[in-house]
Amino acid sequence: MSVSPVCWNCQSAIPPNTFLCQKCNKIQPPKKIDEFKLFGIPEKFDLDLEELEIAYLKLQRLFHPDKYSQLSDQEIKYSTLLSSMINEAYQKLSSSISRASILLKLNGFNSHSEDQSFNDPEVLEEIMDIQNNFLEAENPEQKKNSIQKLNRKISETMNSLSTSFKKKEYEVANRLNIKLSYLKKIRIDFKKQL
Amino acid sequence: MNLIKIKEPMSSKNDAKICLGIDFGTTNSVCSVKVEDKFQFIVDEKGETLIPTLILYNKKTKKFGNQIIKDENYFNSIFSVKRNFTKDFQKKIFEDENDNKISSIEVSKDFFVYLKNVCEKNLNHNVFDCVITVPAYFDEKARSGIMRAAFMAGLRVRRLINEPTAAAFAYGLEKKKKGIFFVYDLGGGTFDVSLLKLSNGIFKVIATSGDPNLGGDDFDNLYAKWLVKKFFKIQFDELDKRERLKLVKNSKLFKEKLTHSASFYEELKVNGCIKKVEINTKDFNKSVEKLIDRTIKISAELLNEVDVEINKVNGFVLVGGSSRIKCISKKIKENFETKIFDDVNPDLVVSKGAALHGYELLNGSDNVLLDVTPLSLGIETMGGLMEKIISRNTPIPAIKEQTFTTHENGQTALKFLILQGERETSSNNRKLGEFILSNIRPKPAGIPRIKVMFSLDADGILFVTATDEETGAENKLSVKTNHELDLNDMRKIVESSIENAKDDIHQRMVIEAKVKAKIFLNEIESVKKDIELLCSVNDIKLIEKNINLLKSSLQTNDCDMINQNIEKLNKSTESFAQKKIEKDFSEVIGKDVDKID
Ligand SMILES: [Zn+2]
Repeated sequence: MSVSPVCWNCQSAIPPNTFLCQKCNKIQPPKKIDEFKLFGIPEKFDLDLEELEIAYLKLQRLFHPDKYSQLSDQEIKYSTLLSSMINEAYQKLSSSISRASILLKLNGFNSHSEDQSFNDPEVLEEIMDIQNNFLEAENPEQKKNSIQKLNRKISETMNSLSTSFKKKEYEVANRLNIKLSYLKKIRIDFKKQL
Repeated sequence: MNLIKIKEPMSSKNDAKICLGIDFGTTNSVCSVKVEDKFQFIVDEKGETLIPTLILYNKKTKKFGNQIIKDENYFNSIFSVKRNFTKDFQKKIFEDENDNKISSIEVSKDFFVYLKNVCEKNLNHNVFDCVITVPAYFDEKARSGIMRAAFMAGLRVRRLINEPTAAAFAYGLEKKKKGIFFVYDLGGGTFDVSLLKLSNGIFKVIATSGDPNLGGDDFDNLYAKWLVKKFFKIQFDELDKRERLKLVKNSKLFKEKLTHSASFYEELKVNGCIKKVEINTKDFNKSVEKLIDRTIKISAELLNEVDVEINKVNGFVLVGGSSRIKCISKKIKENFETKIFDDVNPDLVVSKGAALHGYELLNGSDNVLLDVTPLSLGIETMGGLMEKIISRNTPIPAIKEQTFTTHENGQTALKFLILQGERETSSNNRKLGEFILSNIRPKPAGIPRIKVMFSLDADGILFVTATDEETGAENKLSVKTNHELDLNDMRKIVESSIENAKDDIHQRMVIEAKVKAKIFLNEIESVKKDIELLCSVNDIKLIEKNINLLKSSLQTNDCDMINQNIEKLNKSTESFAQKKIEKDFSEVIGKDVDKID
């Protein structure tokens, strides 16, 4: 049995997924809530980033500490906590890799962390090829071409990842997500060497 | 989720609250304020808006800003005190008008007091609230240092905001701009770049970078070196201090003149030798080229890092007095195919942004300013490496947690060293503070779970908490040095003093006395065990009595009484202090003997 929380100020009930008291308008302490529900956006991989941004800004406009600078210490504290939570959720949903991990978790699939040993010979070979291709590039032009190739590979992987989520094939999605995180890491390394 | 609109607090225009916008610059400072819907810049007693950040302590008097420009002791004044905030700003390296040794924080406090007085003269009544701008690339320690100085001056700091963000805020509001803008902010002592997205009332920083020790001062120094080498065949470092300062002052004047004329002749006097020399843009540009190249490199790196294509950027907004140097916009155009917006006054726009934001903080608004942290924050782990907990360009406020463990069997304490910076090895990053979590229940190595929480607030100030998840032992730390007063304590002292103060000078003295008392009480608290160990029963009673006396006088605003009680407590702990030194010394000796065994 769960008891629904009440407002710290006026004791009226606080409905789930809300952070302002509907009666007295006071900010409430943050509760754990999944990232999609927080922003009130559909739970899917092919997120409309524009929609996410609008929802994010709408929440920050309500809860950023700048809006509470004249209120009590308690309210300032709640707004800092909430605003931090909103920032973190926004960052997580903005990145396709962590967005995929969140979706896997929400669907009851224990997603493997990137650090875990990964031995998919096919994928490893693919990654080796990309790296060699970049190392063998003799001039900046060739290096840029090699990065473009990598970019194509990244968007292909993204597409397959999206398909696997639509088909609810979470095992496949998990493998593709690990592959995607490898590819993105390589891209950062390559860019540093440009 | 259901959202309800927050009602704006009803405020009639006449009782709108006043909040100063203070741009505390390396070479110049600017204050401004919005009063009843009208924005205005503050002018000093000479009618100037640009107030040189200069402080002169001389023969029992203090002078500031434009009061010093024509003073015969100009060269003895304190220049660029803000630069010390990225170093050890607690070091007492200056002397005040009464020959007391004072630190950069105390010098800055005096300057803030001066600015506050100037503003009050302009506005004809007391002001306490302010928003202060800081270089975006300033680390946490520098930020809290600036905040402390302002608190000590009796100012209630409502927010610290980044200089380029403040500039973009004023620029966006004034020119009603939308899109992605790159702010290039070259000030007197610091260089910042920020990429921002502006849309209906939203000012969102995407990423920021910079160099806290690169600014107009460096251009002046480099050009001065070039001048003396070229025309006098002397190495700059061979000159004495006064000659060097004179030369730098000249080089600064030439630099400013070159922003409106390409070449001219000037008399230059070095070590008594006078020469008429040709000053021109070409030579100047060449002498400072490497500094400009560095700003271009930092800009390019930021654009590369954020993955924003240059054609998505609407343009570069030039901010900071030093951005007037002609070849800067030329270099930007050469390196980035983009527009340049130089339609704001680069010296004043930062203060304006702070004042507008301050007005909105106190009077409500629909606009939102969202900023990021410029530098990563983390903890030193095994082998002197830094483990990042909050990475750079994370939106603030930010709260992040990470779990650590012990590396020895039965270990009961863990030391945390908190670091800020981008380097992998901790010694290359700035040390913000350290603390020890003790009372961990002894367990085999790797078993205890110590949760460390980093909370970075909207001012960019960090609070760290470490908790042993099993025993619940907790150690809170708002990163601070030694016995220094926590910023929150300081804020409270300022607030209560503002509420009770009758007049301004009195109020400031009360704050100073209270801060001093608090620091002293904290110090005594930290050696409480030693007092019990080393002192006689009578001495302990006397010390306790004096502690209580001091504590109760802190409830009042009687600064004479507070100071008297500080003195009393100080007297009663003198013999203890001597004993403590002897004890600490014998402990050191003891340890050495053990080592020999
Ligand atoms: Zn309520």
